[in-house]
Amino acid sequence: MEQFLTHVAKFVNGLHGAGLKVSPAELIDLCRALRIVDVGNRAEFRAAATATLVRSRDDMDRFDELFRQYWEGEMVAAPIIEQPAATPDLPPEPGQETDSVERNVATPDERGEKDAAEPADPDQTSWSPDEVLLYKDIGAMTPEELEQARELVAELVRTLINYRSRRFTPGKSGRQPDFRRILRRSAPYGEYATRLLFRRRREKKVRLVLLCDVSGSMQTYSKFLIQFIYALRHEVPQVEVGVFSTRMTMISDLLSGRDIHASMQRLESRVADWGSGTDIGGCLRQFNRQFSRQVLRARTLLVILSDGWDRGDAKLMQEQIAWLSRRVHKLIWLNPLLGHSGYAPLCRGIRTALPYLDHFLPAHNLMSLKQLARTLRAEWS
Amino acid sequence: MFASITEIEQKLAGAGYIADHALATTVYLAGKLNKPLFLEGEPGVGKTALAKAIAQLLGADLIRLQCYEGLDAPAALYEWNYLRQMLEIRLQEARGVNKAELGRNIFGMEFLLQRPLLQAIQHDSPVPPVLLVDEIDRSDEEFEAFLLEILSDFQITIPEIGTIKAVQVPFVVLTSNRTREMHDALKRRCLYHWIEYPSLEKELMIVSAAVPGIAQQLSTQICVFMELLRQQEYYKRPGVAETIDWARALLALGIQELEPDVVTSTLSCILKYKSDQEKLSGATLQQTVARAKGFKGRAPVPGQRTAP
Repeated sequence: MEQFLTHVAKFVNGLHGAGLKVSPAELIDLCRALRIVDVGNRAEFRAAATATLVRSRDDMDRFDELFRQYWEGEMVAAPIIEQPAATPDLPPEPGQETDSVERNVATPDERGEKDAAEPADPDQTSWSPDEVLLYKDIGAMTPEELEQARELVAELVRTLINYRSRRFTPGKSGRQPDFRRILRRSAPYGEYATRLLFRRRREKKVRLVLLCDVSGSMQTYSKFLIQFIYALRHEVPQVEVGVFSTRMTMISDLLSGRDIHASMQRLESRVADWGSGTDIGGCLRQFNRQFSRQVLRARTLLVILSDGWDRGDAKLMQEQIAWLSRRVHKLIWLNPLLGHSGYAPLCRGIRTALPYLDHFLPAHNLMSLKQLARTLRAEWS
Repeated sequence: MFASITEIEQKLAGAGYIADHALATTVYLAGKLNKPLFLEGEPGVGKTALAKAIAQLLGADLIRLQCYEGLDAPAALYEWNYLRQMLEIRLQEARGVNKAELGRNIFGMEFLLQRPLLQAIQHDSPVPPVLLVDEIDRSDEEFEAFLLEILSDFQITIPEIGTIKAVQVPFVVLTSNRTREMHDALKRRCLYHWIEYPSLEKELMIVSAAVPGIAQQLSTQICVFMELLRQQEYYKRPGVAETIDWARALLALGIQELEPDVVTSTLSCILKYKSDQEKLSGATLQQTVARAKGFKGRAPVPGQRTAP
């Protein structure tokens, strides 16, 4: 029996190696369960192990595989568990990635050019800098301007993310009397409290999910939005960010770091398809299948940032957008190209997706983002 | 509670629920270890039905809590009966109770309105009740926290009274359609079981148990058709509940065999979204019907474990 328990413990250890979380409490549960079922019966043993150790269907396949390895055939002698390969989170080698970051933000040459060009216009000094910024294409901003832009948009988003929850919170005023508090307060005095107490709907923040296209044409815009969300991570506690071009990568964990530049570097080293072509439908399908359960809630505001140039299957994209639209509170597509005169959403992909979107808005400059904030606020209140 | 695993299998079958050995084992363990049962699976695979069947075979009362967003403690646990409390104070006043004593006892059990979770814990009957917390994925994170104390210790703490412990441990079943992941803390307190779409053989057994009087040929065609549907991409794939509904409908209409026009006219039984219904038409429909009719006893590819 003792030897058997050693095998069980080894098996649990193996699960750990494969990335399945098993706590000692669960191991104890399993041992208790094994005293009850017939251990000689493989099916029962397996059912007991599954019920006590597995916590999600996603883990089921890995569990089954390890179970086979341990208890059917190859077994115990040499457990064949490999540690998860490579750690993608490690910061890249110094000097290797840094140049690509700079290239994407703005090359020194460009910066120089613009700095030289702007003071040439004397009228500009009398303008509110905000005003200029509002209409300037984000793609053409200098790093300094980007910094200012971020502050502007931070204000917008803060007002955006509040909504009224279905839960109540005590307050001094409100529509519903809070009988529980009134009576509690009454009890010690032996009469009804002279002051009425109320409860009201709690203000709550929506969950914000941002899916950014990082294919070649979209890099600057996406980077701006990601950095901007990074700056807001304290005010928007529930934010998830994914980037895609040929496949979807969730990068929310990178946003928790302290240094935005280090985070962006790690980001580019993690996302293998940074700057390549686009398969929107395929990426959204991957998101729906793989990440939606962890990321989406009923009160989710999902924002897709993409120019819609798609090399993938338009039908697939339509299906996936339709699926998404039923799962989230609001689905918004931001398109930087929409702001440029002469652009009409002609790509087939975008046209088939349009009926499922709550909003299809330009996002090439701050004015358009401001417009977005206004639209949303009107709907929420 | 249960004598053996095979007994559970048989008794569940007697209650009209066909369970496989793994599921029966998990139910048995839940009873023996006094742990809640956490059932996940696509809609319509029989999660709620299992809770009902368990209650039936135990001869226990079923206490059901349907979850929704914003479900809070007053709706799930307990609420004070404010009207009675106010009346009590008035009555005490009328009786001339000393002012210092007034309103002393208005936080007793008799002023408590019991909601499902408290009911389950206070339930006094020869057999412990079955508590069904249905579609917990619809609730929000705050609600999961309410459940933790109940699921691990079977007790509820009410600030004005104290901790109320379970008279007898209820058999708890939680179900989730997995529209979102539940918190680990909650899952850790439960035994987990994923209910898969049934195999063809199992679904046939379910149909003949649930729809008595259906012909073997028709039920085989129905089940094969459903299995083929589940291999295709739909927004909402039909579950076993849909199979049973459809079988009942076809039986009531006196249909002997599947035909494309028969399927089209009864499509609302199996596909509940317009876009899904539009997908199943024309060539796809004819092919699927033909394959279902041409089925000769060989199990189709069991490619069941697929995501949305």
